Amino acid sequence: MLLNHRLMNLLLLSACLSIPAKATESPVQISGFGRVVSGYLDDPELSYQGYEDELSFDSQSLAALQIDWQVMPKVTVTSQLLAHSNNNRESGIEWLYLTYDVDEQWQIRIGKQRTPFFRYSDVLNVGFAYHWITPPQQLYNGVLFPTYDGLNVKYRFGTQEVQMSLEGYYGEFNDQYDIANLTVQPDVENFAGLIGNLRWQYLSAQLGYHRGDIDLVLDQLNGLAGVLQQAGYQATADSLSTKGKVEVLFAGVAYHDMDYFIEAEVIKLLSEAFVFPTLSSAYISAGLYLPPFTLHSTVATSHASYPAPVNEIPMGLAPQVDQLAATYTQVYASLAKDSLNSLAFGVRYDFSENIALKADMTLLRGQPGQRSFFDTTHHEASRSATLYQFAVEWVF
Amino acid sequence: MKLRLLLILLLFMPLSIWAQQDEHIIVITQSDTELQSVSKIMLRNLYMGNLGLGEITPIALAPGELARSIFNVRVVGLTESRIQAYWAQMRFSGRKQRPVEALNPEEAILMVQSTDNTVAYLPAGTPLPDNVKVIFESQSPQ
Repeated sequence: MLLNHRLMNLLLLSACLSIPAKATESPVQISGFGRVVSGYLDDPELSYQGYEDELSFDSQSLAALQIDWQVMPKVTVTSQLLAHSNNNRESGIEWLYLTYDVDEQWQIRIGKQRTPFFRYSDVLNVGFAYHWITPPQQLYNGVLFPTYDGLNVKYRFGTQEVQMSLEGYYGEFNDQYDIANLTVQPDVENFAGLIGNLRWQYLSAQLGYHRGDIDLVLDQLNGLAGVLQQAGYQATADSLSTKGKVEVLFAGVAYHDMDYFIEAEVIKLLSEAFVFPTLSSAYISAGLYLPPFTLHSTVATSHASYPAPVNEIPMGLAPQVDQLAATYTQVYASLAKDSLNSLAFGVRYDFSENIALKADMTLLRGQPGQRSFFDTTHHEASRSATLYQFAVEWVF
Repeated sequence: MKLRLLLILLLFMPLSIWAQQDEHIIVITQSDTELQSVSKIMLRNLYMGNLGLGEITPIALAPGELARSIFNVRVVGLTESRIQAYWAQMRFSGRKQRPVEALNPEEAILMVQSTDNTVAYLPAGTPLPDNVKVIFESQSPQ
């Protein structure tokens, strides 16, 4: 299937509005971005990010409009409307928030915003803003809550030589999305984070901490935990708890100058709640600027694990107990583990100041017996493939 | 064959080498602005949306203007494509807005003349009216 109708409409609208960006005195500013991404995976038994062994365009293509309305001199209302070509990804209002620029140093935002987990998390849909077609999935995989409703405060300080900022946010998340083969709608309360940023000449560094109290409503899992509890296997029932704290630690560093760049990010995801893995991921990416071309290469890795299952239920007592133990073991075995190593090469060609063409090739090497971000019905299939992607990215 | 080799060498020459050429820029503001001079790092911060010069508003030239390329090389230290990607990130994450752009040096001078607390860069040697002053020259020792 090619691009769907909703996306086509937004693509046409954005094409009509694709005039070079130029600031005006109007209180309403309309801007936008879009991307058409095609991809091909060279293994007929695997699927990766929706790509299979035939050329497809509908996995990551999208278009968006952003409307900034300056209500008062320091107050702006921003809304971002997004249309995905992939029906599994939610289209609609991506952002709706109010910004109060108190002064040059303080900025306050209230409303629905993207969660600033990592360097590119809040512009993940804006392919024009980074060099890859797909940022390393080991970090940018969508396991974490993509948006939140709440308050964000940013404070900037420093000298002309060294510029720093501290950003804190607090809110909640309650929306549907997919993790590990499951569509979930978690209730995330006390969702908060603190991000520090330092910029010195061409070097920048970031540190972040994010946390949330999660409550996943999974009827079948909660039913099994209830049966285990009634049967007296409390520790086993507790191991299936879908409530608990999720924490994310993040560090990143980047250097960009006229001739080359290097970027690296590392994260650690820790979870008390079942279904969420413990995940350690990192990447390092380097490139050469040869205007209008950018050549780049990226090495990325992730290691995912879950706590070991509780071995509390004795076997051979009764068929019903054996059945209970088998179901519990089966639930644990079905948890998808996403350990993956990858090596990517790419080129970006800046056709004009607001249009870029890209081509990427990514060698994916997963772990035997794990999901490794692949989808397959062949459990014996290897978890190794090469992904070829081509993209047109634009902003206006 | 030699010509083709030369073209390939030119294509892969790091952009910073072009900065060795003799093109320079100046930065202007209104004559009665208190600002007397600015440093390269102050200008870089101002034009990249960092903490900088308080209420001063920067005016950039449109992409394609030679002075913009010289300013990118000599002051900002980033390629045009990197600058465009940076502003896409800032704009669509709701952080900062890119500088206002003038279509050409003549329009930049008019914008500075008509708006208080603005600065703009121009090619060195551009004839200037009496009511603006130069606060930065890229060939001056910094």
